Amino acid sequence: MRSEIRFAGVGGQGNILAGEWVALAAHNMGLNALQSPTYTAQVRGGPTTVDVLIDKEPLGYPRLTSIDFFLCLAQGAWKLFATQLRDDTVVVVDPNLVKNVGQGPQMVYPIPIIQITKQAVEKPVFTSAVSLGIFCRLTNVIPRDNMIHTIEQNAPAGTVEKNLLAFNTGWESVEGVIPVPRNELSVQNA
Amino acid sequence: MNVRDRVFWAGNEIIAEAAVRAGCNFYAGYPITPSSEIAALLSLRLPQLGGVFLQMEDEIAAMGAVVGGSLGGSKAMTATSGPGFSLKQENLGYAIMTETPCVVVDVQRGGPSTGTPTAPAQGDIMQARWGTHGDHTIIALTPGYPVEVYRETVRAFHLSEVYRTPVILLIDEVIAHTTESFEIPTDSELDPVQPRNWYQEKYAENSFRPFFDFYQGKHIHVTGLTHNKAGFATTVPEIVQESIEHLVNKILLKQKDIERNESYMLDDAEIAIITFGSPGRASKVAVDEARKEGIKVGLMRIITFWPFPKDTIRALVDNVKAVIVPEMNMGMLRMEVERAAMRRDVSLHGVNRVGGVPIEPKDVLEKIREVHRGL
Amino acid sequence: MAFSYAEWLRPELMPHIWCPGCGIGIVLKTLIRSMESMGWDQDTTGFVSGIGCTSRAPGYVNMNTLHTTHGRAMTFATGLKMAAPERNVVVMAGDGDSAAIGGNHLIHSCRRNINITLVIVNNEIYGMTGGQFSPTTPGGSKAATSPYGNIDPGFDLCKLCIAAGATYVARGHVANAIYLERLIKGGLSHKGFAVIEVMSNCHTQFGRRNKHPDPAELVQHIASNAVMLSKWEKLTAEEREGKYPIGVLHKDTEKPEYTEQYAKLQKFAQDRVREASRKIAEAESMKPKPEATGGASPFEV
Repeated sequence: MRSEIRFAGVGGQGNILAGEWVALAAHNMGLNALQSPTYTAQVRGGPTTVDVLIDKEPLGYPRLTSIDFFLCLAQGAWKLFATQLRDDTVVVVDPNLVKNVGQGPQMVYPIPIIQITKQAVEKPVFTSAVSLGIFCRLTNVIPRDNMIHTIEQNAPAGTVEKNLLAFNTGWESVEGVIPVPRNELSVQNA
Repeated sequence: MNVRDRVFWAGNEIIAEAAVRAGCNFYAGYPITPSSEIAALLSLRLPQLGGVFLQMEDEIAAMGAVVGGSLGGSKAMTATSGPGFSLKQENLGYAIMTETPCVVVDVQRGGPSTGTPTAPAQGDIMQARWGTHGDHTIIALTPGYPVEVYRETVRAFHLSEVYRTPVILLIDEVIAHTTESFEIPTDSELDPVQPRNWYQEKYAENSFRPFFDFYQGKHIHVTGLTHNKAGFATTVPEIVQESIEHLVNKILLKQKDIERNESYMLDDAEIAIITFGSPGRASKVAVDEARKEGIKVGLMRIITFWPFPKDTIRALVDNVKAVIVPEMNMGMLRMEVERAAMRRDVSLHGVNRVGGVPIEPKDVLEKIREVHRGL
Repeated sequence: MAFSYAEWLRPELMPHIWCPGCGIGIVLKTLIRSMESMGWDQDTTGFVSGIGCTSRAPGYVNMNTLHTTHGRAMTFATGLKMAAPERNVVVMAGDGDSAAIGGNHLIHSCRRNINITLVIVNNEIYGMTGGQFSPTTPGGSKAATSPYGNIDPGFDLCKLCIAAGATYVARGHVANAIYLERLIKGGLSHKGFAVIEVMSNCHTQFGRRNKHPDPAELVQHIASNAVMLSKWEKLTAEEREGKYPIGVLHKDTEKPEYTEQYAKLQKFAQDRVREASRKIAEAESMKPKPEATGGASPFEV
């Protein structure tokens, strides 16, 4: 089964790292994985996205065409990268940063990711691990233990504990969040 | 290396690692996107292995240093992108004229000029062929999948030594920046990795000038002027003629030996897709979809772009009613296919994207359906 | 003992392309004498040039010779030197070749301080292409492309190279080959990037248009404007007008040489890998992964 995942935001938030770790976790599980980042010339603060593809079968077209999971942390990135969404795509946004999600049939999980990252681990640099916690909880692509193992293996020396704390914070943050129809969320924020 | 290692590398990473596997011990480059990671990785790896990594003052200097390094006995390479590839053309021509083996990677980006630095394009294939002035032939490889990028990088070094010529490895940004799972090929799946003297013994006839490097006691002279078989400048018309014919024919007449393509579902095809590089993947998905709809369509993906597989394409065109050429440029491959087809009665269609977005399966599929309706 | 030029030359390639009376031959002969008297071996020396009258020199010399593209000699030479750092590399270039089209490579070679000797024959004109003004043509001079007089200010090549970081910079002229030999030998024996600028004559393209059509007279003119550095330092700005200093203008033996720096870098990288493998062997559970950055680098300032 082909899974298509996209993390979008602005440079510096760690979105690309989140995508890398998802793909790496899948690769380490023996699946065929692929990740491709998109940057703009503005290294910090410009819109970025990372696309991840995972399949048991050989991967054909190396880009996303029908997204299963989309997490977005910036309005600018939403405008550019909220494409290839299916009706049932799981969409997560930070409602403090993405206010206008436009029109569409998808259900959106509003989770204030940056805020909860700062509260739990103080530094926004751990946003990527928080996003991974949310991703793991809301999808069945990468089992929790495999994701944790990948974080342990790849987090820079001295940051493993905080990354795992951030991952669990993300995992817990999904608790009790009720997805809002996309159209309604735009109306609420209008 | 005979144990299969399963890795998760991006195209640029693959090129750097495969170059090391091929015995590359000399890199000179200049920073440019989207090829930067090749230099970064080799700046880490080559010193560890006793090799040379040089970041030069400009693209021209990098190409000059590569030729100098190769003449000093190294297996040398450089990597660049669009504008840098333009700048390298004169010294690339020098390497062709002086029959100095080296590998030049061009990670294509949108052009002309600065263009779209981080978006994919395939607009450099004609520059790879004709970018430097004067008559010559060139070898250019256009792999499409990670394992193929690895294999073709190793092959690029081999071919450059066999044919005493620069070999261009042309990839696009989709390949360069996509990290993907693949298994590293074993030695038996790769072209030979041999020291230069191995090639000197086997392929001496491929070099017009004496087949030697510096410091081998031969006091060779290497010049970009047309030269005689001793290596010294000449303007004697017969010798100039012979030397240029040698440069052209040593590759052109061996086209069959160098040719490599992927054929997919072509046996009963009425429509053939001919493409190269990353659009090959979108095209393959489109072929599968169209086959489900009962359309007899197949795919030829070119891996050795230059010398051009014109005989294979001519034979293919004879057996189909229509040809579709998807490419991330305005029709450079289509023009070559047209030349190869030589006025045969076949309808030829392009799928051309130059906006910096890769060609998608649906783009190709729609064209297949459209062409099929018109058959 | 008189030495045989024939061993160092390729007489079968003569006659050379230089005009009768040209100074390039004097420079080439002096360079060969310098290499010979220093005991340099033809087999282990690479002789590189670019394009232009001066750059035809390697074709006539019996060693490993490389005649490259216009302006780029230093880039090829840098690659050649790095590929085999234990070999000697000598470059000859003209003023247009080294200072105009090759200007960028010249200053960056100075900056790197790579152990190569560059001999620049400065005849203040583009000879081969028909006498166009070069970056060292004196202001007001006539040239094929400055029929009304040249308004482009010229470079002082030695000052340029000193400022860019070359560690041996000397100037001589073709009228005193004995002294020039001393300057060139100083460059060949120097560890680092050595530049020797040789003021030379192009009566054909420069002299003819600027009242010095006779080679001997032009050489005398060049010699008459040369002032030994020690004397030059005592001259007033007025007295320096139209003249130029000769001698070893700059020598620095402290600045690290590039191939030696690179060898240190290689050793550092190799030690790091060994250390990493040792640590991996110690902690068997750890996955081998050489670290990209971090640790104290010997190159940090």
